[in-house]
Amino acid sequence: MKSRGICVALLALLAATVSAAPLRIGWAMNDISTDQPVRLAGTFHQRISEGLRDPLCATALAIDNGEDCVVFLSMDLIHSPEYVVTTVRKLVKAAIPDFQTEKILFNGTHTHTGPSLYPQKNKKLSEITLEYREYVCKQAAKSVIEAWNSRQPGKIAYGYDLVVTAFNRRIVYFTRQKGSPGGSPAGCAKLHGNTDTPDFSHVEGWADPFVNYLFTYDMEGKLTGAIMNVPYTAQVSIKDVHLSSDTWSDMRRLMAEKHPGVFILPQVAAAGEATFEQPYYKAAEQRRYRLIYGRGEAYPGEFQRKQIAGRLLTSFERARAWAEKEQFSDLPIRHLTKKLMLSRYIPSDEECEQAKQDLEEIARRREKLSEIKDPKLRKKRATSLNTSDGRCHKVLRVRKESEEKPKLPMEFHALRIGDVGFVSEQYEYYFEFGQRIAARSPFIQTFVIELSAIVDGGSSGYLATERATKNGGYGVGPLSCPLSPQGGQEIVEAAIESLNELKNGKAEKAD
Amino acid sequence: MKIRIVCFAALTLLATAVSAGQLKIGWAINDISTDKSVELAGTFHWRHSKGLRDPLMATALAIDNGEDCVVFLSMDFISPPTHIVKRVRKIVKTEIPDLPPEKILFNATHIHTGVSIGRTEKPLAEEYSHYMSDQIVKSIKEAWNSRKPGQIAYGYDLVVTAFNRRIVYFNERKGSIGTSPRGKAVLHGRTDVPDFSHVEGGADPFANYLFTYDMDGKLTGAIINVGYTAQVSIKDCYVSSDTWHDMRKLMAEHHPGVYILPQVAAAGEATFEQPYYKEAEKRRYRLIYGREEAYPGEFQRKQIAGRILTSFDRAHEWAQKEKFSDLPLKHVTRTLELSPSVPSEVDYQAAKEGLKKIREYRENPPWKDPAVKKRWMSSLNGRENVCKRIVWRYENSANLKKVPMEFHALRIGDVGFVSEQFEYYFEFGQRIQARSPFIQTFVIQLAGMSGGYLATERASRNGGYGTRFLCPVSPEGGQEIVEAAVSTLKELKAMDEPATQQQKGN
Repeated sequence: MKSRGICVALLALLAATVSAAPLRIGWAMNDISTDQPVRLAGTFHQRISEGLRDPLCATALAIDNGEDCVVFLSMDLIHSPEYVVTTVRKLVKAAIPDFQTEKILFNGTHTHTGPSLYPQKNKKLSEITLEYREYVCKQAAKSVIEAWNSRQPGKIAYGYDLVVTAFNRRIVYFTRQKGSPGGSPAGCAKLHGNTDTPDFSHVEGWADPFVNYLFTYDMEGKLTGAIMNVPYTAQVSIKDVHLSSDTWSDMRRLMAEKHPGVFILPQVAAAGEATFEQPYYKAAEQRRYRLIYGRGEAYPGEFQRKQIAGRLLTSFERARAWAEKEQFSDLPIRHLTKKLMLSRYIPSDEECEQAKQDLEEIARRREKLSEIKDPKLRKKRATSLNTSDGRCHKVLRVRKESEEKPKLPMEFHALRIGDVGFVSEQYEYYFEFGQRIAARSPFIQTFVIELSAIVDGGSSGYLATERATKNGGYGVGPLSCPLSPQGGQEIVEAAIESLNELKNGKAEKAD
Repeated sequence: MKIRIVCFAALTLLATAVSAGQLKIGWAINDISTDKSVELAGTFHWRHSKGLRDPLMATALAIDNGEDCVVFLSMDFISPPTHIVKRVRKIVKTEIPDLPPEKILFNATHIHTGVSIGRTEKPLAEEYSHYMSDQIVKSIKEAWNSRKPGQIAYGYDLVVTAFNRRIVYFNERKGSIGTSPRGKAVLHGRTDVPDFSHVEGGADPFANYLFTYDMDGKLTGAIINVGYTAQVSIKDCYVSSDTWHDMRKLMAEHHPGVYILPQVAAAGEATFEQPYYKEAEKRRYRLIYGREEAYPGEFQRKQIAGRILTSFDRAHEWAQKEKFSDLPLKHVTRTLELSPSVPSEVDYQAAKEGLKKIREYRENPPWKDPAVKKRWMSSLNGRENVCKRIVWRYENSANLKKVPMEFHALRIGDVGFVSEQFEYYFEFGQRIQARSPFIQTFVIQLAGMSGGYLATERASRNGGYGTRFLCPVSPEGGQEIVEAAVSTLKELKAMDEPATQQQKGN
């Protein structure tokens, strides 16, 4: 009986062990832009697009080895909305019935000049948006299908580089700063706070400089594409009113010049509090752009986008120069998709009380809106107050809901391709969570992918650490975070556990 | 009476106002190496040099505009030795009468493969001290005497040179006798453990450059001011200038004949070591070099130098579009009196306990591995000295004197410079740069004299190596430097606006 038990366990282990097999790789990219007026996502106030600055894209990379597979799908959107996730999966399933659609690993690039794909209050705007949303889904699905159908035997290489793409935008002061109603809790930290003051203590945390690359090649060793996993959210053109893929448009342009025909698939690593803005040296930065370009910007953020893309290209080349010396055509792939149940941010009594006070203040401010003469500014303030109002109500609603539903579901992916690990999560995940995963992962490199698929009625939002939450400011607490810091750490632990399972070849338990 | 006071105030301001003058610029570099049997500086345990890996240098850059001047003197050393600085100034006073010695702004590159004069046998230490002083004087003299009309340009770039070496955990860690105060932070702590919370602070990616040119616009040299301490070869037993040697080599290839003068910006907790991705790093070096390192730190030094060169070229490309030949220059030197560090009750008790342990270790060493034993035994004196100092400082805390520090503040056009002598934590430097009225501000650490760590309050709370009792000056003292720097820089900036000041006086 004992020996029979051992045999069963061994067989089960063998069955679950991942083995190297020839890789097949496919790429595709399709446009997901519109020149119709749609609401731009990413600010409290409403911005309606006035046209297209540069194309938004949905890029897909399919990798399989006959035993398991993944299709990475990166979209120039603020995140991966549930409707898009569900519809893309449906469309792909209809086109490729034997494809397991949970193998699609979505991510948004977090552009703040992408569309909001949710129904809008304005009927016409809503109609345009919902029609456009179908187009986005169709095109994104097309990318997945084309990438999958174009798979050819190929090779991969991987590497990393150290490059400055982002800063931490949370400025910490010696003294407590007041919050803003429906925006940010009071505390020592302030979003994009002024550093030119005696009260400035420090920048809250470290914007990590690790950029992960996964390069793909054909069987002749010709570069065909690359995943660029960067702790950087492309939102430089946040003040623009044109649809744009932000820095990734510049990066694609640079790639087209230096490496024509080579795809790039952008992924955002954990970078919930990332910014493109230098915390100081603003005058030095302006001077730098004046000397480099000798003219004013053609559109908001133009120079900074180009500079960041330029540094990324240097980094890309530096990493590729050594990484491509080791190309792999046969590798184990194992891709797990799980639903995690994570601890919600449950607002405290004080936080609920604050939300109530904020609602009163918002009401007072609404009454004063009529005093603003400039209609554009009035609208900006009004839409901004609407957002703040919604956030406060949400705090009170969550408090009630969380008594019955203290956990929220999240689609979680863990993947290995040879000695490279990948994990994904859907939130704006603070830098330090990603660092914890990268530090503890058993793989040589680990790509943490944020802003991945939203499912099961979930929402986007920040996921702040305990340390940041204590400091207050925008992007922490119940106004901004669906999950608690513990929920964030639960993702870390799930990631480490899954990656260890994948590494040790025990992806499925013997029983 | 009122009018007389206003006139007097206006006259005073006019007298101190700085005006643009033709810049005269001179460079020199001289060797300060030794291949003799010296001790190496930078570790608690002793390391005996086996020879010379690559040369240590003393680089000087003299800039004056006829009204005021500065001589930057950068040495490949752990920190500027006080007796050398004094001796050099004394010689300069007699040998270069037109150069006020206080105009020399000394800094060290903080290499950990330089000479420890204190630990080296006396006759050799004295011999080396004389040689080093003479060579430094030579650099200063040559730079000063070779001044010619020239131009400068300035710029900055964002580049990864260093990491923060303080790893913070969720739970408190016990300290180590005489080296690490108890707390949540650990120097180079492991990050692949569930208790890992975060890296304490960011490292600073701003690299400041001041480029110099002759009157034909040909690049002659550059100050490279980076938040990076070149101590990659800390495990080496040869004298070496670490990363700056690699950088000089790269410069010789890409910009032959162009000088570089390295300065360390505030980077008290900087490290070259990645906090994680150690295996990925090893793989990277295997694929880049395809062989083992020829000496400790070889690959990392080369990589960092390579990134600095890329950054140098990137900044130079745009900065050189705006060259200045006539600029205001004003250089202020002061002595600041800084609040001393006072040991806490916890650290005092730990030090007393530590002294007891050290006595036990000496009588009965618990280490079986001979290498570990040797390492510990050679560090016991250092640990004991620290513990004794903690006990003494705690028991005499009421009588602790302020710590004097030579402080420089300088402006050359729209660029500010400030210096301080400690291993000044990143955040202090960031506070100065954020609040400075100048377009760019070079913060120079390890300047003037030997210092020690100067940690922020946040870091002191977290404990670990490089904080609290290892700092001669308190976090408040660190902030006193920030305030002095900002107010002096503002004074220097205001000097070019006499007309405005005068109007205000009226």
